[in-house]
Amino acid sequence: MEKELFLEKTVEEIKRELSNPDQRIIALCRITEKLPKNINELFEALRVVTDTVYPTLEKEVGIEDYCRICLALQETNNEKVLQIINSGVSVKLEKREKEFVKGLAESILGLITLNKDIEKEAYHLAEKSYPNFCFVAGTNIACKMLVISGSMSRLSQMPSSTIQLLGAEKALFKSIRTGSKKTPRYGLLFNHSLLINKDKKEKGRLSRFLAGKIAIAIKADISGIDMRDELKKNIEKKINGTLN
Amino acid sequence: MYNKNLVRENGKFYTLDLNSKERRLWDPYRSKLCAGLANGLQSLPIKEGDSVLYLGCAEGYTCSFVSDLVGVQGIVYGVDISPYSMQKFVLLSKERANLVPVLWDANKLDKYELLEGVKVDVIVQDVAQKNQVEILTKNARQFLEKNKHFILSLKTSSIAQKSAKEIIEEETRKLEKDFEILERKRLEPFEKKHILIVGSPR
Repeated sequence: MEKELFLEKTVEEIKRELSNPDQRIIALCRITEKLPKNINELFEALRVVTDTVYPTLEKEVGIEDYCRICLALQETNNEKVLQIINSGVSVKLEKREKEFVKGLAESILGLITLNKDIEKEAYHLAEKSYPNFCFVAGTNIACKMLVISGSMSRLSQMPSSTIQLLGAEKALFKSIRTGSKKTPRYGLLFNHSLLINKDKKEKGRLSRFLAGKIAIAIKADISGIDMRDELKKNIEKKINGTLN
Repeated sequence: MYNKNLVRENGKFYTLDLNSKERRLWDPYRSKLCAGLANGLQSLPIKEGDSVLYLGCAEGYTCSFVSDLVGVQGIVYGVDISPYSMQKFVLLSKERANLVPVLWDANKLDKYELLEGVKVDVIVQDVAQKNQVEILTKNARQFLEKNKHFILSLKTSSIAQKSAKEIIEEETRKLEKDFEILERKRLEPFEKKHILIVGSPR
């Protein structure tokens, strides 16, 4: 009898914890981090066979185009490919080998589209559940921050200085250990769209400012307030101020 | 090490028949309590019919063996903070009648309503945290009475990056303020830098 009460309560709490979007976003992001590695490995395996057919082609086209060319095999109209094939160095594949190549190329293309879909789904989820955070930090960076911190509630308890250095833990602890004055200024925020093409000095200042705004945005998301207009005004004001 | 199996034909773990009693293999590499017993721990306080509070039960591997030890009369409260491992523990607790799942943070002092007023015979503390001893004293104050026992499996590498001996000395000094230590057992070669401490409150 007593056990039933405990069971009910824990099942309820488990459901509540697991229906949290954080964990799903993190799981999806983990997949998108790992898939490119596998894609590259498969691509290398493909190139072991097709390097003799299309030598030096991989330098001219990307992975996706390469796979499409492999799918079509010798029946392409692409000038570069025809040039390479007709140069006399290229080797013709046997029938069975062609099938292997086609299968590999197909699976690589499938994985690439899958990766894009998963990424889109993760971004969609993040934007739906945390609009302020994604607006200020950018969805990509927001997702990466979630992966590092583990959950939104943990992020909301962080001071802005910690948020500023998320992703630069290695450099931070190295500077602390050696006691040097060269502490890192930005972690994940280095890739933020506002920081690109800025001076080094300005980058440090802006990342400090942005981290503060992100901390505010996270707290707004947790309490369910939409502050996007206000934050936008603040950020624009700051950028105009630093440029002049 | 083999333990008497309470539930027939579990299927999840390797089972073995010895003298027509069903027994189950207890792997010391997976369970710290078992590693202590394999190294010759003399005073195992868990007896049949005891009620046990297991902090840090995870998926319930060790817990299932503790539930074998206490038998049908006893009860085991498995406490863990992670909802993922708790899912598996809930499934296990449906097979074993004397396991009770509790999703709760043992580190925080906020109260769990259903556990109020409960007193247990043994606390097993298996939470590898920096403030392990503190967690134990907090919970002991709430759940333990005199002449009852605790088992603490101390992971020294989660406390500080010093040598294991120094940390063990420090932590036992902290423990001796509130507890009487009956036995200590290092867990080599099964677990590195771990120690199992058995004791009771003063």
